[in-house]
Amino acid sequence: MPTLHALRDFLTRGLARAAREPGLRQFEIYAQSGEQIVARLNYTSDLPSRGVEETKSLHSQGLAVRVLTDDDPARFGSASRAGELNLPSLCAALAQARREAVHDPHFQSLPASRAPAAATWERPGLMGLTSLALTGYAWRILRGALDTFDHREEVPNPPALIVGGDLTLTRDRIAVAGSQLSGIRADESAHFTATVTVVIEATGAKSAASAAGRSIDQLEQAVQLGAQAMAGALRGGNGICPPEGRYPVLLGPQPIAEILGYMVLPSLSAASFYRADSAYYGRLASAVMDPRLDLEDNPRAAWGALHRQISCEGLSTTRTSLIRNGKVAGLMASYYDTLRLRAAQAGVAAQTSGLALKPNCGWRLGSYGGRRFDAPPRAVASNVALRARGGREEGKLAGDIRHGIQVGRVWYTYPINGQRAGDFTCTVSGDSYLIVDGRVSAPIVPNRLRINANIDEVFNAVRAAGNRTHLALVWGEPHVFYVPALAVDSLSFAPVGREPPR
Amino acid sequence: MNDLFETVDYLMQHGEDELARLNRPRRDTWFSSLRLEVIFRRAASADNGAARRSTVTQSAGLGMSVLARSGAALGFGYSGLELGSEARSAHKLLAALRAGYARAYERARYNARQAAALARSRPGPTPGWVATPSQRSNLPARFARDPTGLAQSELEALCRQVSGEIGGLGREVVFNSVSAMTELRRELLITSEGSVLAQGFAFAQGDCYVVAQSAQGHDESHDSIGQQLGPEVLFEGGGEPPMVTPSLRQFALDLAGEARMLAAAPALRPSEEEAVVVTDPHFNALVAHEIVGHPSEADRALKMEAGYAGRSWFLRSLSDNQIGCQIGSALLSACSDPSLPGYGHYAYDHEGVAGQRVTHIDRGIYVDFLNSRATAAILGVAPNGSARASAAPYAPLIRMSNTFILPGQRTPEEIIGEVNHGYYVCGSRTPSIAESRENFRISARRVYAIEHGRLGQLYRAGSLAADAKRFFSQIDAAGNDLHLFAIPNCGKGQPMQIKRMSNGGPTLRSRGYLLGV
Repeated sequence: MPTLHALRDFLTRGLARAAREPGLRQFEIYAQSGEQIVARLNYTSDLPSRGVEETKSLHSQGLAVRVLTDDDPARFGSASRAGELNLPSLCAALAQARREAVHDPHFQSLPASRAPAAATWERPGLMGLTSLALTGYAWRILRGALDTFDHREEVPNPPALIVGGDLTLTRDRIAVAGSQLSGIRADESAHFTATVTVVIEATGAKSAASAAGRSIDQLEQAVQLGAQAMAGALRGGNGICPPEGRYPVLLGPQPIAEILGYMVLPSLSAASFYRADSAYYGRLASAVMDPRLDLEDNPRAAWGALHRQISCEGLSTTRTSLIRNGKVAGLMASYYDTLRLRAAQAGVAAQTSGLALKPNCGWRLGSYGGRRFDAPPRAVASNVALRARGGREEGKLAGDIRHGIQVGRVWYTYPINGQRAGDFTCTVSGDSYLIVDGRVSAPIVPNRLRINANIDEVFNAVRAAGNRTHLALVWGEPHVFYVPALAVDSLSFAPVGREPPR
Repeated sequence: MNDLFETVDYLMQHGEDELARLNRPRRDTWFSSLRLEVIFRRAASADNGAARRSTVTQSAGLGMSVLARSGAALGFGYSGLELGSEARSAHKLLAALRAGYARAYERARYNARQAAALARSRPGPTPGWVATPSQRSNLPARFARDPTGLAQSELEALCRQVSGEIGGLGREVVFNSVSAMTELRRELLITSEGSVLAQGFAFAQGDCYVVAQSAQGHDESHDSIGQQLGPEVLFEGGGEPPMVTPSLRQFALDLAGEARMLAAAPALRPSEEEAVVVTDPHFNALVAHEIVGHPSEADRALKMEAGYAGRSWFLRSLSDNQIGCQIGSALLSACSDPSLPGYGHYAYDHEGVAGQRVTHIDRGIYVDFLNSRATAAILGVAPNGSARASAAPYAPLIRMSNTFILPGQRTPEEIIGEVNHGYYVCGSRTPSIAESRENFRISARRVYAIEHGRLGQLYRAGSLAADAKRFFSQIDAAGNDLHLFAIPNCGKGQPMQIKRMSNGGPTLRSRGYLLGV
């Protein structure tokens, strides 16, 4: 990857070149270089397997431009070029953006900032980690799982043991400059994510553990994930399946993250209010969550696994308060989202008046979660924190449930009736237990219960919350969550497998 | 090279020798391949009648795969690189290829050695890799209008006009977005076994999203059309049975009309008991995708996706599985067929194996999985050409092609007409699937009550929940109206790969639980 200095040097020359380009009222240049390396775990005791199935990487590099032409107050064009960062590529992109420009009544200016913005540097550790070193960590995670399994007490033979998951390193560098921005804004970041899933099919147990971080120290700590997931699976075998019905529920960090990621965050964007498909549309005056709950996104939080100080639109990132005291307080927005929402018809605009609407979440993210030159900016959260005032010790939350279910992991959580309805469904996929007399009791067999619920039954019916937040990841989502466990009044559970497959 | 597409021709001439040169000193290389792909894409979109975006992109991607051996153990390494116009320089293209090979090789070698150490400490069967004969082919893309020759303004105007027409349908439509894409793609695969395979693809796709609201409620409808044809299909409709699509205009206006209707319809109330359900081809396309196709991917079945998208209810172990077992009624048959001209058409997969029709279910009996060379070795079968990546820089995964439930003999009218009391479940919306795909809840776009053989009240917000085997076993009628639909966004793997394919089926009648609000 080119250094941040090289990106800045290119943009210095690019700025001068673009300023000479005729017919442009405003322009923005974005340069990016990045890579993602994945070491994928796949160990199966009863089937041939390789342990670490593969190590693979994706390198991407290129530039993007956005322009407003001077022949129309709202004629907007964009273009991107993969590969080397040089002036011929930039010129070709500028020409193409101008050629393909369209009249978009909402795009009357590009993001502007005159505030000074120094380049931000990532810690050297993960930035310099080799793919073989990363793979070495993946093998250590696997061996940790298998060593823990070797010290088991009782597991039938053959165990039908599965250890899956991955260790993923994402690192990228960006630089943004333009006619509306002072100076060149540059940023680099590197973070890892790791998820390990252990299944012991002989006992019907499934458990998973996740980690994310920005340093080698945190990566060293992540080596424990294999042992952690294996311990959970050894603990959770030979479970029971409670009958269908409504139960008070203690939702662990992963289910809370999953519901936030698929159901809540998509409704807390300026774009969703503009489209009128937010679950909170028309509900800004009332509490949409328990008043003890606050939700925020902070791309530059010291506590966050992600650390991005400059958005892909060149604006300094800041903390965005999304829910405060249970009410919607702010929305995630790209620069275009804010322009469009402010210019929208009275009905939509009235919906969002008084909300914090800062265009600091405009990220160009690829499907793998890294920053990419050829993705258009869109509002995406980074480090998402749900905090509860008056949280209780986690060990006491089962007491708030008395008789019910502790759900530690869910799967395939989707808005089943559209985003605005807030209805979701998912299956309980592991790390779950019955709660009897206020105590965590027998494990629950994975994949035998389906939750059918609405987000209000989770966030507006909170009996108690944990006083600690835990890191949680959601497969395929670019965010990292920091959330507590929540004890909620009741959710509806339907059976999976009325006639269990063989 | 003046044109990026010419890089494919260049590597067709020189890539085989280059790969051989790279392999020669590395004697522990068991297999290697290079994949090059050049993509030209036009895209445009409009929201509420106003142009939103118009882009033209051209890119080249390179993917290097190496399988290395240490004793009996094999290790995989991949390296993917996205190239731009520098791929036109032979010097830079070869330099990128060599660097990518070096990265893939060192990773493969490292993993092979670690796997050998693991095998020593935990003896067991060693995973293999099925060799295949070398093949040579150079297949062109199929289109009437070349995507590269289309005027971008045509695509942009199409989106703007259609979006504007939707906005004019009535005040119920509060938001709409229409997008269109046309793409020309050329892929090259060269393997160390001597295969040199070039394939061309043309894609055209349209997407529409509509939000409608009324005093009774609201509806969000989204759907896509797509064909492996040129942009002509967006303007005129086209394709051939079983995958014929309307024009983007017709498709989007129909979807918007439906959204308006649904916003005014009552929400479905859940059924207390299992009910008779007639499901239409669009709904069954998602059933075929989630409940037949995904669990028929051998990597899932062999637990390789347990950390992500789950396992398969078709295979618990090599000795305890559903192969040869009755898993549905005799009216249920299903297959994947990449030879059909659907959105998932191809001739060769990304391991150099010819794509072929794979029968998953034959008259209710489970038959076979989609596989790769590695999973075929574990299953002890021949590779069937199903390992494909979403783009050259990504590692191939086992993927559906055109995966569908086969038609029966009955007309949909007969199937509905025989129902005394039940529901007609039309159009798929969102799936939620249990971990091994043994149970599903799939929401429908429209649900109609059926009373005495006639369609009655229309409901919104309805979904069908059932256990997969029970639903399949209770199928008592299959229609003669097979239709395939484009699925443009199937996600799988880490990193997430988004793949295009087709799914479909005929009208079916079975039993399940209706869920609503």
